[in-house]
Amino acid sequence: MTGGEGHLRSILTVIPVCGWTMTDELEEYLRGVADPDTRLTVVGLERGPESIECFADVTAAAPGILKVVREQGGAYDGILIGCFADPSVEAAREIVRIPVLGLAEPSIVAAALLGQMFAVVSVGKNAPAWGEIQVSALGIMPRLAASTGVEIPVGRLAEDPRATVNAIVDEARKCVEQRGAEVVVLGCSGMAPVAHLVRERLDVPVIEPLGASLKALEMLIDANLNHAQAGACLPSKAG
Amino acid sequence: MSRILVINPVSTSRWDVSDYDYLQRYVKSSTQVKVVSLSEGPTSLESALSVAAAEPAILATVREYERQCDAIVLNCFADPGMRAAREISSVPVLGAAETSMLLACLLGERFSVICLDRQQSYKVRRQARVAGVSSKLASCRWVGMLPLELDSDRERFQDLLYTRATACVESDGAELVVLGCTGMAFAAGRLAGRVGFPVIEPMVATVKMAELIAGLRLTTSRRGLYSLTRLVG
Repeated sequence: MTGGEGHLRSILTVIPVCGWTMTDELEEYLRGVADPDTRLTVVGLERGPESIECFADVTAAAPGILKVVREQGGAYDGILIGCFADPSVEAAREIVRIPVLGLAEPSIVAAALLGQMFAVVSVGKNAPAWGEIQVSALGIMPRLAASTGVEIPVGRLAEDPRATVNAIVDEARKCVEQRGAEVVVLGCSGMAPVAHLVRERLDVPVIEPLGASLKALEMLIDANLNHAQAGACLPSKAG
Repeated sequence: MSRILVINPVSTSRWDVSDYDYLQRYVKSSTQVKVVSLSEGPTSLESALSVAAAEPAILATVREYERQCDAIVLNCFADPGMRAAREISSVPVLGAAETSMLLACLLGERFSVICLDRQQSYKVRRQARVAGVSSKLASCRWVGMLPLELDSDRERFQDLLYTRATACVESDGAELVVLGCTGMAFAAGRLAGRVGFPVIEPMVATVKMAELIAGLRLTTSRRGLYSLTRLVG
């Protein structure tokens, strides 16, 4: 590691969907979270799904994400792919030499620093099993207390914020009271605008993944740390 | 603005100034770092006995400063007194080992830890299990030097460290290495420059993570393991 003092970081954030009504709101949210020394660019996809809620959506988003990474990634110090499914994160790491983060891995790591057991509260009936896959892939399964989801589709999270907050709080409380969770990770970028309201009603730390992951990317850039290039993510010849 | 208290959990202040200077190269301009050491206790933490001897003074230091900071870093890979410190502190407390190994999970599929001596490697394996990251630990290797020997023979240490780090990647299947002692910080830059894989230096890693957690205004959960608190006032 070498020093990065006085360095203005540049970060590209990809909101990996197309035509989602929340994209502008999330950009504004990210600008509020970013360090003053971070130059932040936020882009959506030209083509892709409206939201990412299942594996087929992840696949559908991949070409658009990788196009942005290929065409614009080189001009930045780090890339944030703003979705909790961590879509195309590994493929992007094969294309560029800068740190690439999704939302799940950094948020889960942050949660593990605040308590022994954490819960992920995401979206949909596939959330419990999907959350387990993500935590096992990261390698810290022993610390997962519960993985669950609210039954409001991503596209409707912003429709009735009060109902969204109620649903998240209900699920989170079950994780805390019945499953022993000490920390709650929100499992969708679309929960960012209501995270502060959720926090007010829970007596455990709540990790909002979009903000936490942007901060984690700033941290990696400052510490001059990057992903290993020798093992799981090989540099792509197709670049 | 975040105020990070770094506790060198030893009864000598000999590293306080150099650690402060070193950390200044990495923290945000809005972050204030304060490095303190203990008024009493052992001068290095290489045994369970010395960790036990240091813990009372560590907790006294946490009590003294926790109102004046936004996060506390225990600057030793033994994570001495980490859980007790969390019980008595309203601000988050990060240990170097737990933090560095979790960070390693973000940067690769398998990591190795390079310890100072053989005995420490067993403790690190246990720490990895408790942190939940065992499945990502490729190996624990050791340099074969004592903490206080590092300063007196830095060249030899650099060479041994390079040999071990290379072996972790070439032979053990690691993609990156974590240095298993915060006293190895002086060697991290040169090692990272010589090898083609990430090197996590635990002091910077833990301070940067503390900055992250404090910046998000998060602190230790009070609803489980740390629900019996001994908060002052």
